[in-house]
Amino acid sequence: MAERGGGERGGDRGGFGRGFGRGDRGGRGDRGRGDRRGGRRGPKREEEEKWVPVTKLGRLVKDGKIKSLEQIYLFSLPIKEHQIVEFFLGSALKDEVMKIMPVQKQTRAGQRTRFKAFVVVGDSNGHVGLGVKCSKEVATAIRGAIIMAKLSVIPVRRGYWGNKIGKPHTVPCKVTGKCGSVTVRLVPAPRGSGIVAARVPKKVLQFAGIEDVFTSSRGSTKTLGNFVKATFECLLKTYGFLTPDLWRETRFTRSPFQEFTDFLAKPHKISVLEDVEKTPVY
Amino acid sequence: MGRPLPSELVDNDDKEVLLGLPGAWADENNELADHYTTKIGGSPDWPVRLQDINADLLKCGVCGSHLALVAQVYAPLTLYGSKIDERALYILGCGSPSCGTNPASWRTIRFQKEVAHDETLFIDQTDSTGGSSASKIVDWWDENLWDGGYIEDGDDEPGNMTLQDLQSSLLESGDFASAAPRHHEAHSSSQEATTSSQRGSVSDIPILPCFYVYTQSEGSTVDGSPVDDDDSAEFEETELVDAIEDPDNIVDGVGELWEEEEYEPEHSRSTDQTYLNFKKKLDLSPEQCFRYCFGGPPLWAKEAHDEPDKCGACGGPRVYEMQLMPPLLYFLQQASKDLPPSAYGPSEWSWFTLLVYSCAQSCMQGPGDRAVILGVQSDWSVTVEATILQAEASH
Repeated sequence: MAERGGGERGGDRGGFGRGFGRGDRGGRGDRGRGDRRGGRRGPKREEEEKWVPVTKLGRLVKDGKIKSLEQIYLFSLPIKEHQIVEFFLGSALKDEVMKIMPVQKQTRAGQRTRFKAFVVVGDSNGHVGLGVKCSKEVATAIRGAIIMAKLSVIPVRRGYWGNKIGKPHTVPCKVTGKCGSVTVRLVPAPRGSGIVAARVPKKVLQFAGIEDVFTSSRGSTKTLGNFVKATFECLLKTYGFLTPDLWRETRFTRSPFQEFTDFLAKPHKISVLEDVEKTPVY
Repeated sequence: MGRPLPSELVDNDDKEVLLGLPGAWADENNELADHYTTKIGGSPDWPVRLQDINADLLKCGVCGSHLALVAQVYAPLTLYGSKIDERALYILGCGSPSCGTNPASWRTIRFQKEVAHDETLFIDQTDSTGGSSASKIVDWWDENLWDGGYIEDGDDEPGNMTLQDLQSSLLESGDFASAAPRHHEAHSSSQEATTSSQRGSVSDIPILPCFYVYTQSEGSTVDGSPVDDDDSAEFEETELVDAIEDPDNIVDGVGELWEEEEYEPEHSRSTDQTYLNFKKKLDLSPEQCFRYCFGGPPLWAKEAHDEPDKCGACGGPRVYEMQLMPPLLYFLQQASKDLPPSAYGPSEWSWFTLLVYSCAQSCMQGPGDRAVILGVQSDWSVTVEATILQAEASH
């Protein structure tokens, strides 16, 4: 096992030994990272392909009234259906299982083992999501974690280190996120630096679409869950930071619910005023 | 505290949940059927004449306008070993702008009739309503009534073929509303209306787009994981091997050491565990319009919920019987889009689920309370049941 791991991983991981858990699966065998998802979903039942929306937002999305995910983010509307995210990001959304850990609970009849799966999804272009699910079976945990990850997709703001030439490539400012005892700090880096981070946050940052960044972490980074959530928190904060280019006054527009409340419209019907739009929470 | 629940209802574990899945769209929204049909929308098929029903029951409690039929469910029961076959639930809702999300504007009415044990399953001819020719239809559905389920799924019964022929020959050719959306497949097992005349439309009673419903047990739609089984088996095996055999993941003396993880319930910023469970059940069968399980456990969409009050007629406790699910709203709204605009519609409705609780004993009105028609007391008992709405949080 040691040789196998070393042979494969040596080049990739830059000195680390064999990775663990799901990281391996992607390289081994004939299936690529993203492909595994696609191949697995091949023989899906027809019923599952159809999406019948459950929430009002889902209905608006399915009807094409909402043009992009950004519109939903602008009004901080909770996304309660993972199909909404799939609808907008579609095939660009890749997922990867970061780790599967057995979690044990002591019962009278011995130990009960469940599996906890960490999955990160992202389109490498400003959207990333993180999902954690614990289940008795590995496959169920992974599937559930993918859905949770899609539900938690957030926008990531990217900026420049210096000259504003080309596309934004790094975080707009220094941000720090904390979860448990782990704090992760992201610092803007010049173009070409690459992601200077440990293997786990590097994956999350790659999925987010950040090309160059310096990181610094503190605390018990051995706790994978906290480490990866702290990185996620950082990314969450990128859009919460007020920078000078956001100083211009916001012009409030109507939320999709207000705008489309009578899109099935009866022309003479008085539109019911739904709740006012909310300013972005973060 | 009232009467205790009957013992057969106390144990919830192995109740079979029936899902109402969408069948064919009705050709005309005010097609006539009868009270043995389960359908969504359309014109209600009362087992008694419209005039004999208390008019207040058909008006919204909040705004006073006429209620529309949202769902009509034929729901026979077997309680204490005795079968109650003449039993139907009608769920009515109000389409006025402000009423859609107000729980008080929804109402469920249960019609029930005693049938003496030695009677056969034909309806008394004297009892059938004047306006409908439903009594003739009963003969055809004779064999379908007694198998416990309330909608016949069997496609291969000989009775069905004649039914189809009868239907095609009896239907008048008229204007067909273009209410059929593209995503529905016709199911031959749904019971189509088979009468020769359309109901004379009462102009002020609103009618929603209509489609028929067939039922399927929830257990049959769940067949393990939707994931390719071969894949998952291989996957699971190798995962287990790696996860357990090499917990420290140390290779060549250098490796990543991860600490023990603890069980962590699912949580996300936008949802909670209850809703995730609700969504999971929905994803198993994404087109389900309602769930039916008398005495079974309700599927809540939100943690906080109202409890139903006691049965109005007998004072006994009420139990969960069925609940409407969001796909129903979606189908109705899609159909309403195609129709010409009118002052009424389900477009405002946005609840997660609508639960119906009915009397645990499935009691009937006492002889004194029933409607008296032409000096003869009606055999049909009409009771209002509890309707609980879980609305989507508005923004």
